[in-house]
Amino acid sequence: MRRNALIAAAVVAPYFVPLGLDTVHLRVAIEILYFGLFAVSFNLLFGYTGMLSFGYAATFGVGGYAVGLIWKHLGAVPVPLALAMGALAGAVAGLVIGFFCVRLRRTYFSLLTLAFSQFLFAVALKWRDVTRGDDGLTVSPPDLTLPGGIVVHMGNASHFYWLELTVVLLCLWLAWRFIRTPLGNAALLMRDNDERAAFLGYSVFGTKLIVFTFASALAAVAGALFASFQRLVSPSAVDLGTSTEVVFMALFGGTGAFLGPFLGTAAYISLQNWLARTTEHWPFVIGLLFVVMILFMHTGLTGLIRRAATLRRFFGARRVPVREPA
Amino acid sequence: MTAALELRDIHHDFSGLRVLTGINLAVAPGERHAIIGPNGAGKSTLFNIISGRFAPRRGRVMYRDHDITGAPPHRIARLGVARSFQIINTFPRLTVYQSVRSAVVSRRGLRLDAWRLLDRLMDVAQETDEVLALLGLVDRRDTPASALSYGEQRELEIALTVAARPELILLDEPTAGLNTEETRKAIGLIRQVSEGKTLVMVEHDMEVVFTLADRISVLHYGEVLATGPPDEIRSNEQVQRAYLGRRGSPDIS
Amino acid sequence: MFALSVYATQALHGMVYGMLLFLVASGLTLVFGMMGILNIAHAAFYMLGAYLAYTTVAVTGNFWLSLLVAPIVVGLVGAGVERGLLRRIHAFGHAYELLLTFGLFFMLAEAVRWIWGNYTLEVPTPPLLAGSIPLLGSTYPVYRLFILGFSAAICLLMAVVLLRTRVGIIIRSAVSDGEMVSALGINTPLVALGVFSVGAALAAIAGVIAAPFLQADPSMGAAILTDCFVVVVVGGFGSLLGALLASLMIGELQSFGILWFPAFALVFQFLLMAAVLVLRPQGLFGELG
Repeated sequence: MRRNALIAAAVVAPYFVPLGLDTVHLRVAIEILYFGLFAVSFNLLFGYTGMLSFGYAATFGVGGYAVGLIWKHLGAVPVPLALAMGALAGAVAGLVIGFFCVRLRRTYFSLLTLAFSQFLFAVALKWRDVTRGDDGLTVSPPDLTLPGGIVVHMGNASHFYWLELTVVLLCLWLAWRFIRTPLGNAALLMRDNDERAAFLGYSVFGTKLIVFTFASALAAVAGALFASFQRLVSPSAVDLGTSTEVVFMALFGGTGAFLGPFLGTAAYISLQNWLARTTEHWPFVIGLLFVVMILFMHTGLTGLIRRAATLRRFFGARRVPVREPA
Repeated sequence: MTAALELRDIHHDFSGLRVLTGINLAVAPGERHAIIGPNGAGKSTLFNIISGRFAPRRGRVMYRDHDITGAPPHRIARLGVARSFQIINTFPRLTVYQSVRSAVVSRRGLRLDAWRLLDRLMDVAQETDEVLALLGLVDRRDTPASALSYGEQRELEIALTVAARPELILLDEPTAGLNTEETRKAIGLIRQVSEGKTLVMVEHDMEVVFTLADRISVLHYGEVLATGPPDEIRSNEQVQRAYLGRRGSPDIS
Repeated sequence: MFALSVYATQALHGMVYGMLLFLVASGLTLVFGMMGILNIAHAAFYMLGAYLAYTTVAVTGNFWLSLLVAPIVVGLVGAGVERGLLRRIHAFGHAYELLLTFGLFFMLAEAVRWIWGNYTLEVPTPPLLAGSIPLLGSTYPVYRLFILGFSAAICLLMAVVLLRTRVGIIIRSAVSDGEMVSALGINTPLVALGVFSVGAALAAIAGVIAAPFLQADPSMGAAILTDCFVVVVVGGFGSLLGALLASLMIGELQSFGILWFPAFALVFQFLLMAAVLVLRPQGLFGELG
């Protein structure tokens, strides 16, 4: 009972955030929301299924370009519908990419996902007729009229935040549920010992492909939100930098907990903003931190927090302890 | 009556190195069949071929009326064949309960269910608890597989194999590394779980073999030297020579 | 006659770059074959070599000295990485090893930017090898011929060591079956350390000789990295012969690709890698598993 109250509070509290923040910080919060979703979906693939993608920005970008193109060519499609279509586009892209990648093991998988994202990057860059190449595609989300006459102005940061928060919470809930289904459990089997899972009757290819597709759809939603907010999507959405950042964010937070990557995103974005103001060599510091983290803290921030029992439930940590360094 | 498992003229080699030559074997339904032989005789290879880990160069593997030669492991498993592994092959980060439950989920065909909450499936939970009770693993329920003792891991291996309620059970050296007491326990367990099922077992421990097996096949240099009930095998001269030639005194008498 | 000399020149360009690529990729593929790790930081070793060449020349005026300085320094760095870092996290699994090497690459690349600046640095061609000579109906830079000759010499040296010496046999065995080698009583960790360090040194040498040709540039690591991945995948992890053939192939493809399809150079390599990974993941000469 107390747990449900905590969860309800955790869901409702973020809605009050715009009331206490100035626009600059609100923009950061908005960033954290869609990158957080991006990172959580990455972790579905990595932490839960054991697949390390080096090109995860691929479907993030697909989502962004999808909504951009939808609003450009199909007019004022309501935001929720456009987002759903973006998710669908991401799922299709994920299905295609996954079909080729998922059958490969470890490093090969990582390399092929990288190859696909680089390919999409090249397409985004060169296919100027459709994507406007380097200049980027303008994204114009139409204001949303809710039943009851309330209008959500996409240009208003607070309005956007509330819409985005709702979408992100919905996606997180779907992912949370997913993990707790037999299919979500099958993902864990794939991570720990996919061969044994096959001998138990599980289809390794099928399971991994479905998870990959689902995660891709979520990444696409994150990308669509990003594009809607920035009002622009360019090839940098699918480049190696973006793929790298999501890995950093997920790991910083900890891949052993469902919301770990979300925490990591918040920490990373805050840290990066602060570092960028402090020193021009901030990328080096980030890289150094990443290396140090892998060496001494590879379970991330939630790994550290895990030691504190009360917070463990809140972040939805699984009861199984993540393998500690020998 | 169709044999539960039939091996027809199985040949296999690894890059030219001949491992199995002309293996023919028929195991009747409900039979407990042991495959013995010195190291390097090809027992593990044979097992891997039967369970679908890889396909034989030549020959057929028949399970009942199904030709399962070279079929992918998950297909074979779904037909009702389950195997254990000689080298512990479990899910390190999953608890005993979660591991066994995964097998139960598969048996019930719920593998791709992406909507129902696993924790709420009461019949799955019940069935899992039953298997744990059978194997005596109830008090290790919430322990991750990597934290189990060796004996417990062996039990988990068997648990995973039987949780799928297979019709054909393949056990690959189930008592490897166990002490006398643990082996006695394992024999009882194996007898119990294979009641009414077909069992094919690779074993080195002769006590286990002669206690449990209805029939024994002796593998030697990739060929079946002899097949028959334990008494026949015990008194078979060729078999004695094969073991004598290796180690001096046969431990099968 | 004119057309022929253009093609011939392009072919030569391709070989030059291909051999350079081989020098870098050889260490990468050996390490992967032996330790199962794709060392992304390897590209940083190459970059460090080039920048160390720049500094050595700037300080001493002697290019040839850098052929000594760079491999020693970078070899030591490589040893430190293998011994101090990679070995420590081996227990965490392959994914973390890969991530660590990636983090190291990123960090080293940024460190280079910090120390030497975010712009291209010119490394002068050593006076001995400056200028061009008449070749194939046109003129060709002497230095590039040097790169070709030097790399070929090193390649030959590697072949001799690996095929004829005891050390070489140990290395080759360790690459194809590490457990067996260890069971034979050979100190596998030491072999691993050695291969890793020598690989790093080799990459540094490649960086040194590349410097007067390609210049010391903060993005040179990333540029060669993608080519290395393609080489290692196409040639087969662990196979030097595969790496050599693949490198030459990539070199030629790039050389002619730029000539014919400048817009698609980026795409083509990745399509090639993807095709190999899908159709024949073990590459030309590698082994599955």
